[in-house]
Amino acid sequence: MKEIPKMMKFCFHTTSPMLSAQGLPILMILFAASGFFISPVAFAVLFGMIFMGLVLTYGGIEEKNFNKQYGILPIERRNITRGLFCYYFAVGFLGEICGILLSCLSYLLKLGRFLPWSNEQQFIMRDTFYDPASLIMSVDVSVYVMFVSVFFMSLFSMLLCIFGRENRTKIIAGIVGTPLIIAALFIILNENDLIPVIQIRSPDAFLKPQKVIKWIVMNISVLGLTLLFGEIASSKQAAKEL
Amino acid sequence: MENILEINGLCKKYEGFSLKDISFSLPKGYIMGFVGENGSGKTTTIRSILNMAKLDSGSISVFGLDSVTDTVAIKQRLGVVFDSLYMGEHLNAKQVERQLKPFYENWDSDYFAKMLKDFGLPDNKPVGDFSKGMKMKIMIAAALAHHPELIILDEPTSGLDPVARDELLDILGEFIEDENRGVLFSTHITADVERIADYVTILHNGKVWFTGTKDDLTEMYAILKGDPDDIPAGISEKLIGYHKYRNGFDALIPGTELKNIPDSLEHEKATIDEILVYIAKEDKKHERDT
Repeated sequence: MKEIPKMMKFCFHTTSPMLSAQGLPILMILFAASGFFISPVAFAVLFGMIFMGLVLTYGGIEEKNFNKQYGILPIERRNITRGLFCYYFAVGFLGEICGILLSCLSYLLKLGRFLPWSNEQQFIMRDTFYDPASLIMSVDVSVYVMFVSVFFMSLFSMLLCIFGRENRTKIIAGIVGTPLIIAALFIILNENDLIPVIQIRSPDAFLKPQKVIKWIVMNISVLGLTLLFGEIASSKQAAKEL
Repeated sequence: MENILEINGLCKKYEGFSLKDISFSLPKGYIMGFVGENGSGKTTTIRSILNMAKLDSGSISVFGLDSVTDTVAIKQRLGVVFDSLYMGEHLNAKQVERQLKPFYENWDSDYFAKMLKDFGLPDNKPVGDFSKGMKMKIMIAAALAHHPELIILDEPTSGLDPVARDELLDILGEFIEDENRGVLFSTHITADVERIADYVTILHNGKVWFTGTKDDLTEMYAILKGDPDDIPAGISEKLIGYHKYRNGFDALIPGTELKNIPDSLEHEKATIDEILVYIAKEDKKHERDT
């Protein structure tokens, strides 16, 4: 078990230098400023970007030459893959927590009031940004960004391990295309009255009073899915040669 | 003598290539040159030692441990250098250390820093921007920083200039001063092997053609030259890589056959390079005959 945190550190030390490259810091400062002065939702977007930077770049670097490095390191083969998936979750989860904390801080400080708002319309906009509902929405967005990023990254990595990197384009097409095809199918069936209409309450209707529970459930479920995908991927990966 | 590395009956088959019954051992305190032409199976053997390739049959023991079941324990005590940079090219030396350090119980940061200084490597420049010689040195520094007992180098000198090659050989010479250590050094530049190796294993077409001390090898074979008509009966079949010229012939001959050679034929000690060339010639002859 000690090997998984080591592998997570390895992934972090590999990708963290990339965050200071290619103008990303300026973009990050802009988003952070937007988060404090305009809308806390900007933090969710910021940490989504950082997630992409820390996770996607690792995939790119790894693909080039890490097979040899993995072959040298004193670590079980399966723990290399497990560590990678745990890293995805850790980065996503930390991003979510930072997004929530900074959103709360932004809400408490309300720095936007120091901006030179000039007309009625802008005043309304400012008040909307610092409405409690806006804070709830910001937290919601942080949780959703984390859920979607971690879920799709884990799913994508697992499919890469199963079908091989040479099928990368097909896998991306599959991940993007499948939900679209299903949605299109439902729309067509619905438009033609081919599926019965069932009146159900919107999930929000009964989750609203328990937002916090919903957030916790989303986190736990994405952790479970990541571990499951990681386990499947590691068993496939361990059978391959480096 | 206690062996630091032992390979017994290693077989590994790929499409179009196979390792057949590879067996050799390296005693503690020595450097072994692992020689063979490109595609002879050196890298596959090394990948098998590192458990990067799965064995079809046979066994590999490093420090007396099994290479498959004890791979993590082995790699704690093993340093590896490849022919090309295996690290993230965007990382500098400090970042490489941060990446590797958590994995090794005996990682010595002071020693790593000392090696960077001794090798003249900057710690703030991406390793991908290093010259070929500097890339080799950063891999050596990373391989030695956890004080390994065995170093495996896969063609580290290919593409290096003579000065960088000389520096590398000096580093290996210093490393082996501790008699509990060992070096397996794969190369097709045989001059390096002649200079520092105590043992030599020659791979040819996926088989071990020779394994033993360097002195045994050079005494075991000689180059025979002269008039083809002077070759005694029964010797022709034992000649390796026989090549006839307008004025004579040359071939490699096992040292044990020299007593049956008439004085009219000349013979001289064969270098490892020459031995490899004659093995290749013999192969081509067989291909032509079949």
